[in-house]
Amino acid sequence: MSFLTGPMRKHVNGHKDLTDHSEMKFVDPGALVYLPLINMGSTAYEVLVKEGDSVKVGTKVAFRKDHFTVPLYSSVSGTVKGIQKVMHASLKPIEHLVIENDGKYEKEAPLKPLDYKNASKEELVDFMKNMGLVGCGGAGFPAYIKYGAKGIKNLIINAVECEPYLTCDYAGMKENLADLVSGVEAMLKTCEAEKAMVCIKETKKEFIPVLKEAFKDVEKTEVVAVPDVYPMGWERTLVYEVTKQRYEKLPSEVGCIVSNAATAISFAKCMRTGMPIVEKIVTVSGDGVKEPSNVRVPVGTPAGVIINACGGYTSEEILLIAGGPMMGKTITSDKFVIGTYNNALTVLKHVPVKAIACLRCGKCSDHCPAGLQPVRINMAEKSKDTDALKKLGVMDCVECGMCTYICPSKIDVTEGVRRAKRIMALKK
Amino acid sequence: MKFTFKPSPNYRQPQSTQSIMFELTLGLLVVFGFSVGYYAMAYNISYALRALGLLAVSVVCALATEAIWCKVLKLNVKDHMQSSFPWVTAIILTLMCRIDISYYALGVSTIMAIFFGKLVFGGFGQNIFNPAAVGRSIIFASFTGNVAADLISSATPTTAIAGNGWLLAIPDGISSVCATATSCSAALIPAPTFVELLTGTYAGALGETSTLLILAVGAYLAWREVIDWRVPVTYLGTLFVLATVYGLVFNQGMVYGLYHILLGGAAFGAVFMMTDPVTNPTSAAGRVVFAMGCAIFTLLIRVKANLPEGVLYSILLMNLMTPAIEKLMDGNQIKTEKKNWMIIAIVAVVGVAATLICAFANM
Repeated sequence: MSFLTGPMRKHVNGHKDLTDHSEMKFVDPGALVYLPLINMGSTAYEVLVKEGDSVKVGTKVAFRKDHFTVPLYSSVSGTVKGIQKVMHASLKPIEHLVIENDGKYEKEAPLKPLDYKNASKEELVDFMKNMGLVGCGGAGFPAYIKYGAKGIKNLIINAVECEPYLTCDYAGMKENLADLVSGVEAMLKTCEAEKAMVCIKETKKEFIPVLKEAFKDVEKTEVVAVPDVYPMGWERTLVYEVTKQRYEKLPSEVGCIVSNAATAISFAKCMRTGMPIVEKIVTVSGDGVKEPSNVRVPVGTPAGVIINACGGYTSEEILLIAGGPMMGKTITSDKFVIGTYNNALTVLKHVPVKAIACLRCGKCSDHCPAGLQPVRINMAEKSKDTDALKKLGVMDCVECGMCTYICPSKIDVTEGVRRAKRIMALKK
Repeated sequence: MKFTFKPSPNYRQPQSTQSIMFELTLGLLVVFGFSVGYYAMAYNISYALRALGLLAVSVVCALATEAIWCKVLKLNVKDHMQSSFPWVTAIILTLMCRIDISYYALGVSTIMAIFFGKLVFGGFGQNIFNPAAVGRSIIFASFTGNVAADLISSATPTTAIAGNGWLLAIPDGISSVCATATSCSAALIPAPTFVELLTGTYAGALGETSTLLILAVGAYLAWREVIDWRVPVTYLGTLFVLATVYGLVFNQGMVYGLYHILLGGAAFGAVFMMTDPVTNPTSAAGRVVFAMGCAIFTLLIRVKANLPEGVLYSILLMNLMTPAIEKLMDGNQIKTEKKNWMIIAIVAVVGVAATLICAFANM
């Protein structure tokens, strides 16, 4: 908040009560699971199995082979059926490894459990790499790259969950409190930071004392309550909130590492059992689904199967969103699957809104968490003024959706900014 | 089953432009209601009815102008009105006029304001000048004598102080003030007391008198995020500081600055006109500069120009500057914050310097 930049954030109605106390159930993916061969937009994967091979839960089936190494493990036991192009949650058709599920869930832990208390930094980073630990907040950035950095002062554990409707991190933390604690401890050891801060919204009144109790014997670790605003869980907003520092590209520039609470839990679980991320907690919520709830599903479970397990759709015309309603993309089929870093399905009744002329109220500029001026970017985009777009710093936009959310004239402001980014990308 | 595609985000806040305009209308009507009440109590019911009549004429003229515009351009009248809000301009324009303005003058200037001030630019969201200010300036230019006779016999406090070169008391040995002023009277302090100026229990422009009520409505609208609080706060703050600087040169005392806020259309303009989002910059920093510019021009026009009031023209002048301010302050607002503070500091220095030059020139 500043006089000249505006609040750069806003409290939004989270509808968290729809799912935050629901009972977690396991959803069986059915006959086929589809493992997406993608990580952060890269589809450079080498597949290690061929059609007809039998696999177990935890069998290494593929790995990302370009400048990052990210292995992929089977989430069910059964037979490999081959590779198929299917629509992905990122709205692109990409290749998926199809596995026929025999429903037995026979396990074979691919890694040896690791005692983090007696492990070195190198061993821990290696473990992250071998287990394929990716940022579970939604971006899927490989954790071993972050944790290889030197000179880290603050480890920030992001348990903010600022997307409306999502409660999967909250549910996951409640269920795996011990793993969260040891995960944070291990991450702190891995990055050699001076302290760890577990950041959670101040409105989680009943859970904050539980967290504080759980962390009270952990050295150099504190639970920090942060405001209930969007996008509090965005790396930049969160780093600024707790350290008052801004950075150019990566949080490590100001000595910070940000990891999601779910990432810490997965890390701890894998060190304990040797089993990587083969299962996800997914929030299924919104007014378009009959029984909103949190579910546990094997990676690769199609969205349609999960929705059916939650009572099905409430309306004939709906928006099916991979993720939360702010940043998640609407997908025009429910065949897409939950990957290792997807964590929600939001289903909303489709209510068309009518946009009217921009009144230049500037609310989008006041609330943009990146300090941009979406209204000016939209004007410059209309006239294809690339010089103006450059000056307006359009490429700093992360498409958090705040400008469209806030726009009282109901204009698709974020979409205009996306078009502007495309113009700039083509120009390069 | 139909899966609709819509680009993200698919979530909207409850506030809409329609709700913003609705609340703004309510705020304006509260101010108008006070005025009607005042005229009914202090004068008689026919004055109150006249105020209501003026508002009706203006609103009807505004709606009719836009309706005809729709007919000519073959637009759906209802849809157009719901996204054009002509009555807001009409109410603001009426509130800026005195009760003795003729129906004819108000009606004609409303039509001109809507047509030339708004529609020809492309309608709501496209106009460069505040349409209500355009209408008021047309009255200034063409209808100053067009008043219903004998409604208010005395001059308003604003015209009274303007007659004294915007000074409360003329210090000994300074005669040039009287030379530039229209009439130097012996009663130097305006007739209404300080409290009356605050509460607005005196004759003046319909909606501009009660500073207290205007500020209360403004605070409510700012809290409801209908208007940007930065604009009135910066404007009134800057005006107070500059007026105090001017007053110090003429030995007017520290309370002098407050008279500049209480008199004329300063508070009304700050809350209801400078905050018009269509005609001011979109960025917070730009709005601060916009409001400062308005304050500087208000003071300069009041003390130096041949007009009784400066608020109206200060708004029109700064509307003209809006595109330039926007361009100047474009960029990532976090990265340009320092530069923006520099620009504000420069504007502040220019403002104080201009005020001092005017003060010494008026000596």
